[in-house]
Amino acid sequence: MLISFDWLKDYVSINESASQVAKKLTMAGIEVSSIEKVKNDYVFDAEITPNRPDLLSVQGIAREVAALTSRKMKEPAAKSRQLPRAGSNIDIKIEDTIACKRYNATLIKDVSVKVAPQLVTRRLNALDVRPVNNIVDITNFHLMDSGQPLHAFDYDKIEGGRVIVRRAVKGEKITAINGKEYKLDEDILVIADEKKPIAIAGIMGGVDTEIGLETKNILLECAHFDAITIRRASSKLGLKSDSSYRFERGICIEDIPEVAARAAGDIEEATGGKAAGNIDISDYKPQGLKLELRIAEIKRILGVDIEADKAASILQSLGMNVSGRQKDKCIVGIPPFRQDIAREVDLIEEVARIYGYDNIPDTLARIYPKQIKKYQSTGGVREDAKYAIKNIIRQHLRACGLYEIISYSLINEREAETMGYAEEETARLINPLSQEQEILRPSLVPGLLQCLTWNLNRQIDNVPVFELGKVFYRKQSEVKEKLNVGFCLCGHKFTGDWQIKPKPVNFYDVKGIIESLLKSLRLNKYSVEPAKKEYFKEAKAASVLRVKEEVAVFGEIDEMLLDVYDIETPVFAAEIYLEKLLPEIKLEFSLERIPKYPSISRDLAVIVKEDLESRVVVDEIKKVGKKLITDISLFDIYTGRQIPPGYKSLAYSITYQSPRRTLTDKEIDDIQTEIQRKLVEDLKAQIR
Amino acid sequence: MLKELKAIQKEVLSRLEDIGRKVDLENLRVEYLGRKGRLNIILKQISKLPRDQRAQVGKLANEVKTKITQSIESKIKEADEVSESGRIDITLPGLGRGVGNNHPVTRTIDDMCRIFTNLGFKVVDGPEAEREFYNFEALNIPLEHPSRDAFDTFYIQKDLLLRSHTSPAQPRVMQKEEPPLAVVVPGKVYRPDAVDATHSFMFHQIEGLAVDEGITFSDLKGTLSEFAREFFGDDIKIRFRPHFFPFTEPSADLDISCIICNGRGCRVCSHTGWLEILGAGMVDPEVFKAVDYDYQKYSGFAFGIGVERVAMLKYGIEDIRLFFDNDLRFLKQFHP
Repeated sequence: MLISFDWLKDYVSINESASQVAKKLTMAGIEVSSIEKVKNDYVFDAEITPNRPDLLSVQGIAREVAALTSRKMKEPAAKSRQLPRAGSNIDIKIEDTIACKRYNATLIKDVSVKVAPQLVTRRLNALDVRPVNNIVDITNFHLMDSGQPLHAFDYDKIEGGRVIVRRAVKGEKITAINGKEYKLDEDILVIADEKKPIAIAGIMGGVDTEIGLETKNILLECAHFDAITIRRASSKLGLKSDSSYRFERGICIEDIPEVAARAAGDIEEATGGKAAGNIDISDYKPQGLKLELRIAEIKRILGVDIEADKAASILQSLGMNVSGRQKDKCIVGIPPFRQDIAREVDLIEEVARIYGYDNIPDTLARIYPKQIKKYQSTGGVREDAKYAIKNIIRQHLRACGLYEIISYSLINEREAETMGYAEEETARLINPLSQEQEILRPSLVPGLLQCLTWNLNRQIDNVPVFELGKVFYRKQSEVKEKLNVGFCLCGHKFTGDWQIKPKPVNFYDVKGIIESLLKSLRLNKYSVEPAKKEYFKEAKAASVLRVKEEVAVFGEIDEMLLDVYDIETPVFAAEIYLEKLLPEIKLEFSLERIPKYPSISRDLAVIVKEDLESRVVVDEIKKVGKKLITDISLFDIYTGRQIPPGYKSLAYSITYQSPRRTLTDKEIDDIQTEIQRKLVEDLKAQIR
Repeated sequence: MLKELKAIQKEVLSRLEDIGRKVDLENLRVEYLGRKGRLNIILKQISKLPRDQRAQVGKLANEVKTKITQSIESKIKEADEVSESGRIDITLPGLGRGVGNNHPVTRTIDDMCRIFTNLGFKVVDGPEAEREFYNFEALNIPLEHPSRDAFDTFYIQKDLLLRSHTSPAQPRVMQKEEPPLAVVVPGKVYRPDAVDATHSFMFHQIEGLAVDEGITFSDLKGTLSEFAREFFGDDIKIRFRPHFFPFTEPSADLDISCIICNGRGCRVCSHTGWLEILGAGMVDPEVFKAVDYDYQKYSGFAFGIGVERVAMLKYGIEDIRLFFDNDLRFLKQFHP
């Protein structure tokens, strides 16, 4: 909001410079973001917080300046004019007395419409309000001056001479003074004459009754309109104004007759017209709120000792009435323009901000570091454990050479569809900003692929990235939110290693990361089974299962999905459903005794059919060796010379160890022999 | 012949000690083990020996062959790394995969959370898809009020929205835990703002809340000043400016002296010399009411920090979109 420094001086004496005043206002909660010199005046641009509608006026700001400079407000120059009571010449009916709690109308006759007096136009120009004519300008002047909106109607254009404050009827229309036509309904409060709406109440007047050069008689409206009604109407019509802005935040109903009288007096003077009558319709009864302010409570909340006298003088300087003063408390009468003060703590804030936040000492809170046990954002795991595990996962993936990304949680329809999610499985926004960000992501894969596209388009070919983030999916009427871990690889590994030629990354690189991550989290009981997912290539996808439940999925991304992102290079990705694992991760453990006796390794190479899975061979070996085998490690897969077509050679290094003694060569030889026998017998393998 | 074989072995082993270059080793191998090599010549003569001697000589010959072969091969392996003078090119790049980085937002969040956990706060999480009650009502934000303008929101369905700030976690935690408590809640928030250099529809905040008997506004000032100094450095100036939030009373904004221009005034601080870092205040009694905390007994303060904004200031990042483009040339800079 713009504030004219000169205009303030109409209400309070100011010796300080404009920037000094601006600084005081800023440090009292009215943030002045810039000061501009405009001719001989200074104009502040200030942010008025929504709780202070009383500051949306020159008088309101002047009141603050007076409090901050320990001065008294001046009386306004324009004397309040006593207006003649209305006869039958003003006919007002309020149909909705909730939406309109007070309607004050003054009939002014024989006006001469022309340019407004220079003082008025100068003031308006300082605040970027475009001058129109003397009558409109004076209504705008008083709006800016007191914060109370006014509107002038061409009285002769009011059909039937009747004014009705009512809800519009669906189908009614009005052309507002901005030239646009608006369709109305019962959500919109209007000022109407006998036939039609003549103004959108509290927001904008209609062209039919607009003040023009030929206008002879005017009806000056000064009214209260309910904040919520105006806000709804303004929102619905997409129409805002300086008036609606103030009604939405709450105007001071008690000021209405005073402002109406002053404005009428100014209009008489500027137009040569004469006030012929005034009517003020209202059920309003002054509230007269009184609050008790306890000195001990000031200390309890602010942490500083402020004596009763000091507190009282601060509140009085703000226009409040302090009575019943004792050492430990006082009674404060809340003025009608301070609708934001309803409780003792609101008074404490007033005391604090005028006292000066910087005058309140800094102390360090004594925080008791209580463990959070009852509150759990993910069922089955404590918050501190969850936080620690997330960090472990990040550390581990970083150690694997991956970079963390954070991608948008919203994706488009095509991405979700191509991944194979049905419409009823995804959650979407009712009011998205664009179709590109309409659906809450059900998986981290889109974000990973988007990152890939970005980097690949910039000639960055190796993109090893991971993300820890929330995904969302729909289960009938419920929307579920889960924490997942996702990562992907593409391009080559060993680039920059001059001893080894670069090799393309592949399925086993992803598998390796998953295996090492699960090991790191001490999750060793799981199986890897083939998986079928629309976005992974057929037969190149696998699930990680724990007790038959899928906890992770990984594989090579299908081309159809890569197409959506214009990616032409193979991509290998994984996604872990972390919340399924979180409750089962136990990071405490006891040491396993370091073996006293040496281990012995033996190699074993078998030739088996090409489609026989390595796991089958390993399981056979384990069955024979049982507890004496501590490790079976594949070190070679060979197809070529010496191996018949349709077959492959698998070579394993088997580690033998007993915790109780050194195993003899003979013992191990025997087991090896038995293993070989079993493999030949059960798997029709051939020993190499 | 036995003597000859032993002599050849001794010769080879001795010569090997002086040979380093791979090409020389290859020549040596051919000299002794090649088709026309010295060992082969001897081996061919074994068949001319009397029958009873053949076995013994043959056995030794094989042993010698194996020994020489192994010795030469192991030397060749060594030679792969060793040049002719026995030196290596130390300027060749070292090998290894290298480690990745955390995202700068994660890093900023971790840095900030560390400061608060050192002060006794615990880190907790809250849902991103939030109910209206926690996002507004429990925070004293009535559903129809201009202060709602500041919180325009994305809706998923009736009574389910994407949280517009991390504050909803405050009532959630307070509903389950008794005071005293002190928590920080980092996380994603969403606002329907068009994306440009300084705005994004998705960004991160850290919420903080401390409740106990005797927690005062003075404590709020001291604790948050401590945070600001630790995070931005001891040289900064700090000021608390009255502000308004529906869920705190009194409320404040914390400004630090602009770290770009040292408070002199520049484009970044809009020539004011100050940067707004976080919003804070004493928890409003209405918020306590919503979670059944006794306002007469307890008091608390709450604060909210915009993570990207702070990270942009700290690292000199000029465009918020960089955080979500995830360009590796950007991400790779954030080490350790």
